[in-house]
Amino acid sequence: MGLQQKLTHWCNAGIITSSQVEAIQSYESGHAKTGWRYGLIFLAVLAIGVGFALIVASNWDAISWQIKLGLHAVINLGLALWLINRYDRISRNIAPDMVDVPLEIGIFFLWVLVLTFMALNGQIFQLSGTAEELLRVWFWITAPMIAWFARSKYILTPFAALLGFYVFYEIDHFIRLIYQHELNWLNYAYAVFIPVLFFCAGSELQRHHVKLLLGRIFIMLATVFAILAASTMASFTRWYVPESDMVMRTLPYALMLAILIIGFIHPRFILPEQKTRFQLLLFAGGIILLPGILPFANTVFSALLFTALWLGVGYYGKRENEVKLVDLCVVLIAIRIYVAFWELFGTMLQTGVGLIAAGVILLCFIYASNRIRLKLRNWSQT
Amino acid sequence: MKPSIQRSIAMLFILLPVLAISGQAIFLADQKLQIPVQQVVITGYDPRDALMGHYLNFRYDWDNAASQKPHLPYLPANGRFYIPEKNSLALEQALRDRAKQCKIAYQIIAHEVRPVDLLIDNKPWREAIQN
Repeated sequence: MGLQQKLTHWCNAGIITSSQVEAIQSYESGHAKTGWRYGLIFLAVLAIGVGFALIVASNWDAISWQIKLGLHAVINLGLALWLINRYDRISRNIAPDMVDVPLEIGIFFLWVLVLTFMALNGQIFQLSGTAEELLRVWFWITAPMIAWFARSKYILTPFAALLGFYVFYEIDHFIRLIYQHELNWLNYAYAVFIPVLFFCAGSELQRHHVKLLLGRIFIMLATVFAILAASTMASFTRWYVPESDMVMRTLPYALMLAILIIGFIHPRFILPEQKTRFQLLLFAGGIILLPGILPFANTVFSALLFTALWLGVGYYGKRENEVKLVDLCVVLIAIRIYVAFWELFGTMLQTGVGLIAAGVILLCFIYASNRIRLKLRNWSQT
Repeated sequence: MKPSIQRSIAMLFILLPVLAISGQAIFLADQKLQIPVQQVVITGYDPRDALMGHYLNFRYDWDNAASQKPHLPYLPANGRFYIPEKNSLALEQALRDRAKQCKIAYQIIAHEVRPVDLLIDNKPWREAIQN
């Protein structure tokens, strides 16, 4: 059914009035024209851009370095000025979190163009830096621009992931510069405190209703990172903690306690709707830190920690009614128990009977985990 | 936040990367045009690093009589030079020819040796591979 038919139908049914029909028709017709016009402008600009790029590419070696640099600078500057102009116009008309597609595409292009300009500088002036250094400088120099302008998840998600990575990287770099040697205990401090930091940043953005999407992405990344870190690091933590250094041994726990106090005693810091997620984050942190203070660490213990962590995640999934998360927890716990079984009874593989037993046990695990998964799914749906 | 402040922040954030990199390019271009160029013999050119693709990797021969040694506390042992892909084959053949002497024309910028050009038998490489 076309729009016109739908409108007539709704009007006859008394859902909308005839004046509303006229308003909708005039809005739609205005929009349709705008859509076509933008589509054609986009095609024309694309054709010009591609043609220009082809000419430049085929004559690349013949173009002098001054022209290459000058042209790139002009393109970057032109795009930047257009973006400022566009931002000026749209910021008055649309809500702070609404996506303006041309602005979003423009920001993405400028992000990439800054990188290509830096690479061009390196190529022309034969700079001795590595690609790693180039990317690091590029990220930090463009970070305020992306954080301020970008509004879609397609740009903000990779940006937030890169931000997480580079925050780690810079702290690590700084510490190594001061201490001149590796401090492995920091690895788990990162795994606990950086997600908490991200969580708080995300929570603050949400509280002030600024960059709501970025806030959500920060919180999601913080939780995912904490769970992944806890899954992989819990069994190694004990070896990261220097036995002799009591300050370093206790510092992470003191910080953890401070976070607990901030998070729970002072409710101003955590939004009520984020409380469960924050608890999950702290739970993951506790799992990472636990082996550091316990006097023993072995295979069974690390399997138990892993299982405890994913039971916690599963509980969260059940509370939040996230069925897929519950499924994932059941599967991961089943796999971990099976791995633990092999860690303890691995020598069985040397005999034919042992192999058969292993196969049978694996089938039992699959069957049991599937049953539990279905049961939990029904449970969370009721 | 006031719209004028918002606009100023937006302008600062968007112009910062553009102007910083343009500024770097202007600074480097100025250095390239002003600072005198010296030459150093290069040796031990292996086939180009497969991972880096476009770069020729080499060793500096600072003690060679034909090299102009800069007054620096630290002299790099190795260097690399960007080569356009389409010239790589011809250049590789020229570099493997032991009868030819290869040099790097360089400048000292910020206490660093910065390659400017590759010379084969004292000719810029573009000219040399055409003959």
